Amino acid sequence: MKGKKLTDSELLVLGLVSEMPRHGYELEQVIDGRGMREWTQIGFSSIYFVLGKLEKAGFVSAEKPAGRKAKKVFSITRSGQDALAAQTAEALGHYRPTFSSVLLGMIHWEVLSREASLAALDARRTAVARELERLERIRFESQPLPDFIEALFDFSEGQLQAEKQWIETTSAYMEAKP
Amino acid sequence: MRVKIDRAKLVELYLPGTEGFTLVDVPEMPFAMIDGEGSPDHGASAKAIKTLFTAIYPIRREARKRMGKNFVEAPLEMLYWADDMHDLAAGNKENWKWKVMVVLPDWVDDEMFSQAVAEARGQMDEVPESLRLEKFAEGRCAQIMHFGRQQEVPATLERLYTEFLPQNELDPAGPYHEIYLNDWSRVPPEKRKIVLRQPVRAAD
Repeated sequence: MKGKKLTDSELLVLGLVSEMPRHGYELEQVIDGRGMREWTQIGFSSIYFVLGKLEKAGFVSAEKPAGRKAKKVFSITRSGQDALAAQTAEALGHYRPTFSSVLLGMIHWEVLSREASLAALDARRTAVARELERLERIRFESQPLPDFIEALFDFSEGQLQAEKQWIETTSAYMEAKP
Repeated sequence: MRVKIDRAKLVELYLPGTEGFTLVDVPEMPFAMIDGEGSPDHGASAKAIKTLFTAIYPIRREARKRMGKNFVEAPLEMLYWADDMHDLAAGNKENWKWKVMVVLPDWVDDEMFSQAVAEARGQMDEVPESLRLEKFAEGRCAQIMHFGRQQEVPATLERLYTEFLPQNELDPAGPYHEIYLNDWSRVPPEKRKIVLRQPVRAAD
C-alpha cells in the first residue's frame, strides 16, 4: 500500500490514531460519538480490517500492553504521519466532482408533463429543507464542536442552501414559462 | 469598570507562558455557568459541561455569524473551591464545590441568553437551576500555562502556594481556576494545555 492512495476509511482511522494512541473499541466509540458515519461508510468489523491494512503498510504500529485482558493499542508511525499529511493536503486541495441525481432528472425534463416535473422539484425542495433541519439538529446535539468541524457543517449547509435556491429559481421560471 | 477585551488582552488572559507565574488583572466578563457540588469526576462535571455548551450553542452560532473571522472560540473554564480550603488541597473531592463556565461575547444580554436556553431546551435532558448568565470580575490573579499531563498539576500548584505567592507577599483570594484549552477527546494527555489561575490579594 506504500505510496498508494489511502481509502476514505483508512484515512479516517489513521487520523484518529494520529490524535493519540487508541485501541479498536475506542476507535469505534470515537467514530460513533463524532457522528463520522455521516460522511463515511465504516462498519465496526471494518475498523479492525482497516487497522490491519494500516499496520501491514507500516502506517500504524500495534502494542499489546502487559496483562491478560489488555487490548492492542495502535499508534501512528513516522511514515503514517507523512502519509496522513500528504493525503490530507490532497483531500483539501483536489476538487473531486460529485454528480447529483438532479442532473439526470433535468436532462429528461421533457419526458414528464410540466406539472409532474414541477411536483417532483417541489418534493426535492422539501427533502432539501428536511436535510437542512437534520444537519442543524446534529450540530446542536454535538456541541461543543471545534471550529474546523463547525466549518465542515457550514460547507454542507451552504451546498444545501444553494440547491434550495436553485430549485426555487428554476421552479419559478419553469412555471411562468408560456 | 468596563475594559474592552482586545486580542492582546485575550492572549494575556488565556495564553500565559509555561515558564513562570505571571500576574494579570482579569476584567469583568459575562459567563454562562452551571454550579456543581461533590466530586467532579465520574461524569458529574462532564454532564454539566455538555449541558452548558448545548445551552449556549445559539449564542455561538450568532457570534460566528456576527463576528466572522474575528470570532474566537471560548474555552471551558472551571472554578474549584471548598468551605474548608484544606479539602481542596487534600483532594477531598466529596467536599468540593465547582462551577463550569464559558465566557460569552460582551453583547450578550439576559434576553438573548434566555432565548438561547429556550431554543436549546429540547436538546437538554434537564435544565439545571443554576444555569445562568453572570458577570464575573476575577481581578488580580497569578497564573501559568500548564503543558502536559494533569497528574503534574499538583507539583506546579505546590510551587505557586508555597513559593511564588509568599515571595510576592500575596494570599489566595477566591476559587482556584482552571481553563482547558484543548478538547481532551482529540489531544493526548501529554500535550494538553491548561491555564492554572489563582486570584490573589496582598498578604496581611
